[in-house]
Amino acid sequence: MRDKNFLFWVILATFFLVLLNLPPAVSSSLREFFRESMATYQGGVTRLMSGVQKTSSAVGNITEVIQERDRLDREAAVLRARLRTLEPLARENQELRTQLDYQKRVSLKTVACEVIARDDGYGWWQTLRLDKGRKHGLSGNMPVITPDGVVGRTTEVSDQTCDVLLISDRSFKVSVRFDQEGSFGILHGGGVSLSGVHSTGVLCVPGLFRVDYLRKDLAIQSGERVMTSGLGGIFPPGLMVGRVVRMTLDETGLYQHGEVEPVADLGRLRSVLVVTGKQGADQ
Amino acid sequence: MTAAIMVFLLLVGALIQGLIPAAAWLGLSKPPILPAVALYYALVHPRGMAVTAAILAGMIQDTMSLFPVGTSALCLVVFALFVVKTRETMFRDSVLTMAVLGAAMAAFTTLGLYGMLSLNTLSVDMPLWWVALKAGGNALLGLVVAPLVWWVADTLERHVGLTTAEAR
Repeated sequence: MRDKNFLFWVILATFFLVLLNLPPAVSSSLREFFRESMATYQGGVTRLMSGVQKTSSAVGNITEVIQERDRLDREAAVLRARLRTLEPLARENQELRTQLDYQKRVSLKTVACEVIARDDGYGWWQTLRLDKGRKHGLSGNMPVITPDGVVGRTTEVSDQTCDVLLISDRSFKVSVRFDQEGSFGILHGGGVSLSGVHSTGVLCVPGLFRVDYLRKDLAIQSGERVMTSGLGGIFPPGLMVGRVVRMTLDETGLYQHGEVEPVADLGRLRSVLVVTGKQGADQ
Repeated sequence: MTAAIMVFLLLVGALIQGLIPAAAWLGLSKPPILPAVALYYALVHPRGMAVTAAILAGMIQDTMSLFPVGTSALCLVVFALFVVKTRETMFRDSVLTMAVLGAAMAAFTTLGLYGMLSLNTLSVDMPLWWVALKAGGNALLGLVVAPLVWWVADTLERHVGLTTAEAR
């Protein structure tokens, strides 16, 4: 009995010694196996919940929905007419852009993805899980954006799924440039705010981002736009990150730091764009 | 059959734990369903089964997050073995026991994970007050979740003809 007990402890200790020191390739395969197994169910349940939410909201506000539909119909007719006049202009614009090779320099190749889960399984990191992965051309450390601005970067990628570390996570860092002032800085995620308006839809309001060690003579104003600088190799330059809320002098009086409000609605993301490269970069 | 039920509970638990949004005022804690499943097996089943449940729960949790594989498993196994060792001195079928142990396990796992991450190169970069809030939030959720998971697991095992006494 005592021998059996001893054997149990030896096996358990060996198991953990091996498990905690797994080679990255094995550990990554294990992660992929579990993530791929869960992804189908996570996606299904997320879509189901979204459907239920939409249906209940539609049933609850049926009169408003009908009025809204009529209004949208009228608006769509006006926009269709306007679009017809704009089409030739758009074509001309496109031709000029091609001639100037403009698109090659600024446009980004993106893959549209749906969010199938929020947060990691235990709430330590602020992450998202997307419904596309390696098979769709995604890999680690790719920028993730919405039309509003930067959302985060990809971390773990499997064949069909991909995890994104949100820009609001405390461990997230990105090189930024203040739009008007032109100075550079490193922006850190601010975690989540305990104050702010929390609701069942959004249980976490992102905290303000922080940019440290800025020279105290820089005249950065509240409301100034903060963009990615392009330094660091992950994010291309010129992506919107946020707006300066306030600048305060460091305790030592040698530097100032800025607090930046995110522009992307990080609490309510349903779909995002993963930047896989630049348009024409592979031509 | 016990193994099949365990796998089923762990997979459903992982799915629910992943889907429920985390609340900021609880330190972004998620309801600790996987630790609660491990706790049920530690209280009711033989040591081998308890350790297996704790390892699987921990590994699923690690693969769902950015934790190095094995960190949660180690924390859960340590607590599960403590429960196995001391369970004869407890009222095992009491809801209060499950609630208190659920809270203790959730807080222990949170602090254990923070300790292991601090030793690891993968820093979580969070202030201590936030870790304390997280441990408290996890404990509170564990207090509520553990009896519920115990009830579900016990009902499921009874339905397939496996009584708690036989499992022991």
